[in-house]
Amino acid sequence: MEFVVQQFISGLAAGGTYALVALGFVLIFGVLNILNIAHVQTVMLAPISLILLVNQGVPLIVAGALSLVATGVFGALVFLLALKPFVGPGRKATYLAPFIATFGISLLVEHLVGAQIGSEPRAFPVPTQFDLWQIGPIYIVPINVINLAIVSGMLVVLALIINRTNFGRAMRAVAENPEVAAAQGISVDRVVLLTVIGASVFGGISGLLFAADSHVATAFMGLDYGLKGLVVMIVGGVASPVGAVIAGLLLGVLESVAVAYISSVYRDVITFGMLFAVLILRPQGLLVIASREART
Amino acid sequence: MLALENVSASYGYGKVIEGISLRVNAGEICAILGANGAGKTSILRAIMGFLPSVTGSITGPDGVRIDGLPTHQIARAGVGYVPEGRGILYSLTVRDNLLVGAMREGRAASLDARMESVLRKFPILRERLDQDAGLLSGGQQQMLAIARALISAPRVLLLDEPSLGLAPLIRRDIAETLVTIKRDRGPAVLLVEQDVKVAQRSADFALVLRRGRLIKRLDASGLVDREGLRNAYLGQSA
Ligand SMILES: Nc1ncnc2c1ncn2[C@@H]1O[C@H](COP(=O)(O)OP(=O)(O)O)[C@@H](O)[C@H]1O
Ligand SMILES: [Mg+2]
Repeated sequence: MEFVVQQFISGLAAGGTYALVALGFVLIFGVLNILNIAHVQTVMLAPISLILLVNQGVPLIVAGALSLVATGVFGALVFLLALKPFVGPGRKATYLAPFIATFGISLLVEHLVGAQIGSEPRAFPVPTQFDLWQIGPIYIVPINVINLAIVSGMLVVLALIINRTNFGRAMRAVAENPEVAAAQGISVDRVVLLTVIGASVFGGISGLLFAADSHVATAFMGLDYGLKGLVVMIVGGVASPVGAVIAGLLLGVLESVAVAYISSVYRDVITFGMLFAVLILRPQGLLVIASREART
Repeated sequence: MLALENVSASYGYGKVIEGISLRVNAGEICAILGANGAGKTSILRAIMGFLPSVTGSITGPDGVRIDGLPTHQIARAGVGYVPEGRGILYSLTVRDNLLVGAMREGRAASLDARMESVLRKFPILRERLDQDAGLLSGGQQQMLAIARALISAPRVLLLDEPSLGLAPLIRRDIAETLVTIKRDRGPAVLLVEQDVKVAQRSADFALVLRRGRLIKRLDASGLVDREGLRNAYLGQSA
C-alpha cells in the first residue's frame, strides 16, 4: 500500500511536468492554430543552459532564472523565424509550412547543442540536502512534492492570466477569431509573440523539473520528452488546457505504475498505448473545446 | 471624418473595387447600396486593412492616413467595425466581448463609465453580461456587435449589413439605434445595408455600387423614392 502511494505521488509529479510542456503546445496551438514542434526543445534548452552556467560558477538559482530567460528568447526567435510569416490577416498558413519550419528549428537546435556538449548525459545539479520525507509508513521524495507545488502554482497563475487579465482576454479573442481581434485593436502579432514566449518558459520550467527528478539532462532529450507533451495535448483534446492537465497527470501515473510493476522498458509503450487507446475510443480527446474551424 | 480617394483593391487577382472616392463627415450616415457581390463588404474590409493590396488614400479621424496601417492600429485610430455576420466572439461572455472592444481606447479610468453608457443604450445586454455571447439570439448578437464598436467611442463607424437575417421589428430597432448613435456621438458612419427601410430611416445619403464602382449618389430625397431605390439595390442605374 505504501509503495502504491509513493508511486502515485511520483507519477503525479512526472505527470505535472508533462502537463506543463503540453500546455505550451496547447497555448500556441490555441492562439495560432499551428503546431510548433520546436517547442519540444524548450525542455532541453533550460536544463542544458543551467548546467553550462553552473559549470561557469554561476549560483544555481541565478542559473535557473537565466536558463528560463534563454528559453524565452528561444521562443521569440522561433516566433520571428518560423511563425510570424504565417500570423495575421492576409497571411494564411498552410499547415505544412510552419510545421516544417518549426521542425527544422528543432533539429537545428538539437544538433547545435549536441555538437557543443556531446551526446553523453550530463549530471543535473540538484541540491542534495533534501532527505527523504517520512509521513507514517510512507516515504516521499521531496523533489516530487516540490515539482507538484510548482506545477500547481503555474497552473493557477496561468488560469488567472487567461481568465482575469486583459492579456488573457486578448489571447482568447485571438484564439477564436484573429481578424475580429485585430479589428478591436488587438495586435495579433504581439499576443502570439508573448504567448510563444510564455509557452516556452513553461516548457523550460518543465524541463528543469524533469531533469531535477532524473538528475540528468542530454542534448537529445527534447524530442523524447517533448513528444510526450504532444501526446498529452492530443489525448487531452488538443485545444483544452484542462484536458492537457488531466491527460498529463494520467500519463505520469500510468507510467509510474507500469515501471514499478512491469518494467521500465514499457514506459514509452504506455505513452503511445494511451495515445492509441484514446484515438480509437475517443478521437476528439478527453475534453473538447471546439477548434477554430469547428466554430466557424 | 472618413474620406476615400480613388481607392482600388484586390484579393490578389483582379480588382474587386475600383476608383472609389467618398467622404462622410462626422454626424453623417452614408449608406452603400448595391447587389450581392458588388463589392460593398470589400470597401469596408479595405478600410480595415484586411485586403492584401489597396491603392489610393484612406483618411480617418483627425485627418490621419490609415491606408497601409495594420488593422489593430486602424482600430486604435478610432475606427469601429461591425463586420458582416457580426463577428461576435462566441466563446467569450458578453462582458468580455465588450471589454475586448474597450481595449481600443487606452484610458482604463473611463472604462466603467463607457460600459455603463453602452449598457444603458442596450439594456438587454446588461441582463446577459455573464452569459457566453454564443447563447444570445441573432438580434442580441447584433446589438452586442454594435455596443462593442461603440464602447470605445469611435469617430468612424463601419457597419456591414447589421439587419441581415433579423426580424422586421428588430431591424426597426437597429435603424433607430443608428439614428440615436448619429445624434449622440456623431461618428462618421458608413453603412452597408440591403434593407431599404433601414437605409431610408437612418441614412443622410447613399452611394450606389455596381461591380466595384460607385455609379450614383442619392441624397435624402432620392432615398425616399422607392422605385429608384429598388433599382439601386438591383444594381441597375436608376
Ligand atoms: N476573400 C475573398 N477572396 C477572393 N475574392 C473575394 C473574397 N471575398 C469576396 N470576393 C469577391 O469580391 C467580390 C465582391 O464581394 P463582396 O465585397 O463580398 O460583395 P458584397 O458585400 O457587395 O456582396 C465578389 O465577386 C467576391 O466573389
Ligand atoms: Mg457583403
